Amino acid sequence: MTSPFDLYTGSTGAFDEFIVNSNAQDENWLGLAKSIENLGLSELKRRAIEVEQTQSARGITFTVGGLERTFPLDPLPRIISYDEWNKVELGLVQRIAALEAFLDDIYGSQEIVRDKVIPKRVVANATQFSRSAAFPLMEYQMRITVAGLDLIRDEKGELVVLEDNLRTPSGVSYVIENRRAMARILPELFENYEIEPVTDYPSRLLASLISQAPPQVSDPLVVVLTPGVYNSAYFEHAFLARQMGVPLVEPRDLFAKGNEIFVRTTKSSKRVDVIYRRIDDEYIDPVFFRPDSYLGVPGLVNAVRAGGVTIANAVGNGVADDKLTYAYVDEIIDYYLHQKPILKNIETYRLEDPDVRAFVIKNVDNLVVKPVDASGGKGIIIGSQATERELEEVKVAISSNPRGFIAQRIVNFSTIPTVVGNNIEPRHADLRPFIVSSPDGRYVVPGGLSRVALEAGSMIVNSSQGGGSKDTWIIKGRSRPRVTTSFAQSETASQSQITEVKESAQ
Amino acid sequence: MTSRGSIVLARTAESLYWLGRYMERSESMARILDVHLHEIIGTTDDNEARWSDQISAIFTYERDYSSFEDLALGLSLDGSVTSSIRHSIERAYENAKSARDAISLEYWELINVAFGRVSRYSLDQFGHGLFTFYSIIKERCAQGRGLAVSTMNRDAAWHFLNLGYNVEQLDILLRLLIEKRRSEYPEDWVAVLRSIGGHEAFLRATNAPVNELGALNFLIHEKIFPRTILASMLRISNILNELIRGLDESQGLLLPPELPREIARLEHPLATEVGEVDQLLEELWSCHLLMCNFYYETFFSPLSQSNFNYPLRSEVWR
Repeated sequence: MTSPFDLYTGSTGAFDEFIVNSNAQDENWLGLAKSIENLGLSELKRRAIEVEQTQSARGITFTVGGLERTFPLDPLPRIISYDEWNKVELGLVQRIAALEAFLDDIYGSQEIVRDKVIPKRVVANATQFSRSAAFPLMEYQMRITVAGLDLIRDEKGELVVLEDNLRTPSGVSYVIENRRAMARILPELFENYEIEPVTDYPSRLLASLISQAPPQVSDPLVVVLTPGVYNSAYFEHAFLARQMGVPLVEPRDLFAKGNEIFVRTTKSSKRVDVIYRRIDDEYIDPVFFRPDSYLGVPGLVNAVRAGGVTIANAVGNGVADDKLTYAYVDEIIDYYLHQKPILKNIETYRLEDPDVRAFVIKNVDNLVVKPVDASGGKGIIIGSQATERELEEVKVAISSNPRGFIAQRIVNFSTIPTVVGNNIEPRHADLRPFIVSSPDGRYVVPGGLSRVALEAGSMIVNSSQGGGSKDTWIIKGRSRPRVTTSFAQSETASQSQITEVKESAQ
Repeated sequence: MTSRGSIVLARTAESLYWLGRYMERSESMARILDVHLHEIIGTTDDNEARWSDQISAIFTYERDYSSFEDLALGLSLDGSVTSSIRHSIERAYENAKSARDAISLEYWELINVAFGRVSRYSLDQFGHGLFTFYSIIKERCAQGRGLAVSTMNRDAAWHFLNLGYNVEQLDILLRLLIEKRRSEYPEDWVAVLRSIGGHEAFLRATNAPVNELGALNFLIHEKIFPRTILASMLRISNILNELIRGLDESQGLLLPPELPREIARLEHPLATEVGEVDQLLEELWSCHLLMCNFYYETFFSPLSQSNFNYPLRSEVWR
């Protein structure tokens, strides 16, 4: 019997996670390949289709241009070893701790600017720097309750940070739903592997939110704030509210009165203590931000400032996930924690230096240019894939607004075997781990959301642009096969089937 | 154990109420159209014209139609007709989505799938097979009702959903009876009974042949069949008592006296004479409208604390 992996050769230039690990005789990856061989690709696909139908029936979707789509789940999981993950986890916690300190400082006494570690203009000119949020928090509050960083594995196989998302990162619901789906697609593997569970997330998040309630409140009311049913991530908002057992509210359900926030219920109104908000800063309070926003809750920012309510994440976090701030994260870690960064950044060009700018403009076709304040992959120009006209436009844009962009080396990030048609082919994938912070400590979801570009050679993994996802397994070890199983395996196939039937009949 | 389940947002309550109403509306319409479409076969042109007028009045169909079948098609599958079954399923889905955190996964899944199916049906696909369409709708709605009954907590959210179902049941039966009574010709009361699935129930309960007086008294006064006016009103009254019980005393809310008064009247053992029916239906209708306003003012729009005038989410039928 030939294995569907026999013809799999990986990709040129990029680090292929299967090829490298199976060559190194990694038993987890080899075990996966063996299982797929036993199962057969067509059976694997049949199970995957069945699961996709269930997901679609349950409304596990996201919205693009008014249409609801499922987020295609590739039935081959990604495996990351426990040892590597331990290091990544430390790196993530370190990075978030430093960025939290940075935000506190920036919206406080700005010592990092005074010590000239970061030029004042980098902070002051950031479009996401929010003067209205420039007040110190209460000591029980966090600025970055939820972070979702984007990591990629570079050509040498090392996981490096591509972006910090500290505003309203989404995707964690798919991590949990994917794990559920995989248990139905590959139940055989779940028996043999000890996979770190991801289902703790909602309770960890709830615990963090409750711990940030104003201290005088004994039984705090936590809510999830969504822009509404037409938001692309509405499924996730409803999912989290249900999993945490808290109300899902829209802005029109809330109102401010005397620096406190209330929710309209069928029995008068109730005071809200903590708001996990999934609305961007710009729309959250028409008093401070966009006056044309129907989405906002007028008076919310004042209530936060007065300590009447806690919102997570805090207002103004965008200054810390600004792409130019990204270029200073190593310095930030060193300044606040006196540590060496555990996770590396991608080499980034700061365009304010005229020499660097000239270099970037000259070599723009071999670089990636990114606007500093956008999220979700908007406005990114990949030099090697851009048209002449796009390149000309980006050169002009860089020259006229150097603060608005950064440039980075094009990373040929890693590929993972993915089911495409009737074959298994290499596809590029990134990784978004989620970190929940509370005053008592930090929790990292083991693994995270692996997003995979479904087109050959494509490096665009965004769900809105045809990306899929993979379940990410952090495997602690391989549990020893159960005695009955190994006994059955030594028999002939038909006998082992009989044994199974007997077992299930009991 | 006190739980957060007792908190229902005003907006969520409104969505649940309309979810219940639209699910019930889909099912009731499927039943009424199914029965009439069946009876039309082999009947006179006059009869067909009369029934077409009645049905278009009951379901506020404002377009021209060439035949009853044409009318039924418009009221079933035309998404641009705001009172069509397809439109009702769409609205049910929207409200379910908005109240997603208050309903069970299984109930949600059923509505989500039903919406997906119905929105893919085309007019030509069912041109000659509307009976199939109606049986699919009836089945789906009944499944939904069953799942809601068996998978949801009996908390405030449930009461609002249940309220919607019962209010719609009452609404449709009142409309049906009022229109049927307007007719100058003798009505087919067997068809009316079958329109709410109550023909067999009538025979079993009364042991008498169907006539107008008997059918009207059954549909209005009978307690043992769940879809009659009295049965619906009794359930509405129970639900409201549950909901009111939880309100703060300071709000001093009482049920409008009209509801218990009408219930007491319907429970009186003396049968209604045919001559009195129209006035009775008129009064029941105004009580129904008054109650609908009461739900809004009491539960769905406690917006008095706010300076903002938000548009109300749901349209009202009339």
